[in-house]
Amino acid sequence: MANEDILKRTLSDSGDLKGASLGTRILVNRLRVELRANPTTLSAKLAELKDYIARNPAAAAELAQA
Amino acid sequence: MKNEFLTPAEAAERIRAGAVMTIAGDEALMAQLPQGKWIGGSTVYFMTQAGGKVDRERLFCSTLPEGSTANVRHLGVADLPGLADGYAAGGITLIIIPAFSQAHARFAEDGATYPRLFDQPLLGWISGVHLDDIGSVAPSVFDGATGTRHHEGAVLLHVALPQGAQPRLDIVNLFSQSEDPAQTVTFPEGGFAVKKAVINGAEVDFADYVTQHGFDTRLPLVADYAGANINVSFRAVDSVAHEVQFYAPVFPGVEYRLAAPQGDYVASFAAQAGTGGERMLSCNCILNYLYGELEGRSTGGFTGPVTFGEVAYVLLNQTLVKLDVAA
Repeated sequence: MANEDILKRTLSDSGDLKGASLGTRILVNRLRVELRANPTTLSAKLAELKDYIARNPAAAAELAQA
Repeated sequence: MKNEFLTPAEAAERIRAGAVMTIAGDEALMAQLPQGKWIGGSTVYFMTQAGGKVDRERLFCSTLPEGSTANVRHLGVADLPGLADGYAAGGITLIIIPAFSQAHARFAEDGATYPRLFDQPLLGWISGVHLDDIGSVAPSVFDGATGTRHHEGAVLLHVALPQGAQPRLDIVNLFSQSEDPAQTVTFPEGGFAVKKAVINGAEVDFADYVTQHGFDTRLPLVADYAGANINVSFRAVDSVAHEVQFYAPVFPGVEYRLAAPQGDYVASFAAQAGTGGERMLSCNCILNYLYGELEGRSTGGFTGPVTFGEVAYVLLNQTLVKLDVAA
């Protein structure tokens, strides 16, 4: 499981996810846009990202390296 | 992955032998094919080894690696959110949707929110027709399992790949964002058509702005999705209705910039796409075909249908989608 701080930073940043797969980039972009529109949804967006990583373990490494 | 231009008889023989295939071509040819593990979509434009061409005599057939198994589904518009329910573990899913259909619009606007959509490579394209036939002939898709033609919904080929196969889905987008921050555009409302935009902090009539500032609408708007350049192409600028139409939806909260001008498409493509296209499943956009003047010009080994929209998880414009399945 990815470090929660890394995932929060991933969602609150707007930078490139260097080395991440195309699918991870598109998903994270959607979560970032939705979070910017409604900052109170952080927990829900974090949960969605964690679920994605749980099903796609390689994504955790991608985000840790980004 | 094997990419070939086949006659309908040759394609039928391949299907009867049990091959798992995606097929592109004139709908009259696909209607002749037997039932099997295939999906198809209409187009008469192709990128071939010899260059871009219109072909109504043969079918562009991509055969998945030997040992692949597949499940074919047609989903109606209301069932699209459940498309990942058919994902085979460790596999890939191919999708074809008819242009101008409700499914095209719904997938484009909502697809990124579908549950588990990103859990495996999802790629495909939007079927089309000859440009002279737009408005008189409806683009179609084929469910090969039943041999049924559809003008609505999506056909899906859920593929379980042979043991050890490593699929990798990516895009080749020759466009990048203009470096001029003054060209940053956001939209208060999303969709395939907009009236208002926010540029430099001010809300503007976007149709008027595009016209007055001489936007080259052959260039797409480009958004930066965490480092992936995602295009939205202009379809029309209606100064009377004060509306700009696109070939994919724009989304509120996403920052777009007009693409930086590029040079010759074929030369740029050769520099960016690299080699190895022969073994990849790929499709390219009708707008690249037109604006890049690809008829008779080759993009190397990257062959496949020329489409009215591309899918790499979500709907794309003016982009080449490629899938490599390494053993």
